[in-house]
Amino acid sequence: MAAIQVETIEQSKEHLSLPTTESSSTTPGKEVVSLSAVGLSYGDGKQQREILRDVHLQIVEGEFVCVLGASGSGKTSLLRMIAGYEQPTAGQIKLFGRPHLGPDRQVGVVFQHANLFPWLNVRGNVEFGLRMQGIRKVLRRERAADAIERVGLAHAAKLMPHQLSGGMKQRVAIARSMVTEPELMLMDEPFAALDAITREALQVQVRELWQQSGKTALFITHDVDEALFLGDRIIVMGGSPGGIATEMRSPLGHRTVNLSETRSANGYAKVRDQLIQLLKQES
Amino acid sequence: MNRKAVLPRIVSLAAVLLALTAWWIVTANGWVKPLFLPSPPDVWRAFTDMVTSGYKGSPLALHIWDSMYRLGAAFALALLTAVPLGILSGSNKWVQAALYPFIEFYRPLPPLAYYTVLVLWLGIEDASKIMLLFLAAFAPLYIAVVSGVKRVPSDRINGARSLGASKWKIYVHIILPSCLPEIFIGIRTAVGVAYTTLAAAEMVAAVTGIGWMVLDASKFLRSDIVFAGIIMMGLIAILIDIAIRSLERKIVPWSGKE
Ligand SMILES: Nc1ncnc2c1ncn2[C@@H]1O[C@H](COP(=O)(O)OP(=O)(O)O)[C@@H](O)[C@H]1O
Ligand SMILES: [Mg+2]
Repeated sequence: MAAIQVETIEQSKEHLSLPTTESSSTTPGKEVVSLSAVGLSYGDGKQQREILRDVHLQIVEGEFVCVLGASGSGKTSLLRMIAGYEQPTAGQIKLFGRPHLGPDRQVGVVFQHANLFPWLNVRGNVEFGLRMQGIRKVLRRERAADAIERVGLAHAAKLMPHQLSGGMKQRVAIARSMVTEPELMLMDEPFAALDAITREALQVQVRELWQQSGKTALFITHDVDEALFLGDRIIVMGGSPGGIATEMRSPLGHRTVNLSETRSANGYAKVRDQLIQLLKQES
Repeated sequence: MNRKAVLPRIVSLAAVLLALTAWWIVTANGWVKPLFLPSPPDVWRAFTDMVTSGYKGSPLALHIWDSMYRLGAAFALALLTAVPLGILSGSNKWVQAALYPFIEFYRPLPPLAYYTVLVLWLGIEDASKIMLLFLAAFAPLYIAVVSGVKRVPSDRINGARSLGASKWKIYVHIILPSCLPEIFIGIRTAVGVAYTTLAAAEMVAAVTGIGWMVLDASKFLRSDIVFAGIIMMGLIAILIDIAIRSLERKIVPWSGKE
């Protein structure tokens, strides 16, 4: 059982006192994502609605950042801009130090709804990215089989998406993105529609995959526990038009093996309450 | 198959048997003249005659083959043109804007109205017949493909691009397979429309084909052959539809289950 020792206090923008551990403060790595003064409006003319304003965000290599916010706070919009699906209407986005032009295979995306290709079986879905890159069939098979096994679906490799449960679909979606080894993984509430048990199993899996790969991840959620369990940094969105209200280092970040251990860690209840208060203020 | 699926089939079968029996009783008792309604045995005899000695110099199989050839050639042409043009139109509004007026104009026209023009242009041989059937099949197929392309979820395309698919690969690997369910709907409508046009196509300068056979026999008031021909045409249409549907189940097993 991990007893979290509350040693230092890191101050957030809002001067909240959040207990944190000595975060294994590695020297800041390469900048993977950089948003400066980014804004987004949908529609034009009279229909125009400003969704996000003045968003600044830097993510460095190897970080696991969770974005927490009430529904409608612009989390998906933020992710879609980073994925290259929407262009910001203000400010600038840089990925890997370069201006961001559009969807890119260095940026993997897992959608809230698995978004699998219905005409391909599990293996075909997972192989898709490798096939687009022109990787040889033998190698493709091998890498896909490995990815499928890592998400625990070896027995289901030949099933079609319509034959899978919600949890299985999300596993396939994760494997499909991971197999091409993108530098940055974006995940938009991938487990929101799943039951608690499946969700917990997948959270553990995502964390393991992330730790093994050493890549960078941005994970959107509206679930405080999920954010505290997965993220080493938690970003809270809110306001109208939306933006980043505050951010904090997770006090627990990757120190517990599962959610129930996270929950029973020292200081957990307090941090959780503070986050929930923040969310309430912002929505 | 469970009982719920079997029961309607039994009802269908019973209704058909009932109609056949009624036909039999009405004709066997001489309640209607054979010219208006030939008896089942007469029709059967006309059919076996055609099987053994053909019709007007050509064996029955040749009549069926010629019709199927015209239909098949027209349909293959429609598939080869309507699918790429439909995909292009569905993803590029300029292409669609350029093509739509023509399709919207000719689609509602009765095929016979422009058939003579086609004959003038392409001659009285198979070419004009195939062209007529092609035009009949093209419009519904094209329209189905366009609507299929427009219904491809944009995040499916986004997701594929994030996985490294280039613009051209998106067409082949995402848009085309995404449209397959709509393409099949288009195929079934197209084949149906082309098939109903078949008799019209074989009205002019033909000496073979089941459509021509029925038309020719009606000139000589051979109701028995007309009936045998019509029943045959109906059964062939059902067989074609069954074939397309089983192909559909095989190729797009996810259709309607997304
Ligand atoms: N394509 C769009 N066009 C117009 N408004 C949109 C679009 N997408 C999202 N919105 C609006 O933007 C706001 C934020 O949405 P979203 O980013 O999906 O929030 P979240 O993911 O946090 O629930 C919502 O009010 C939503 O209605
Ligand atoms: Mg969302």
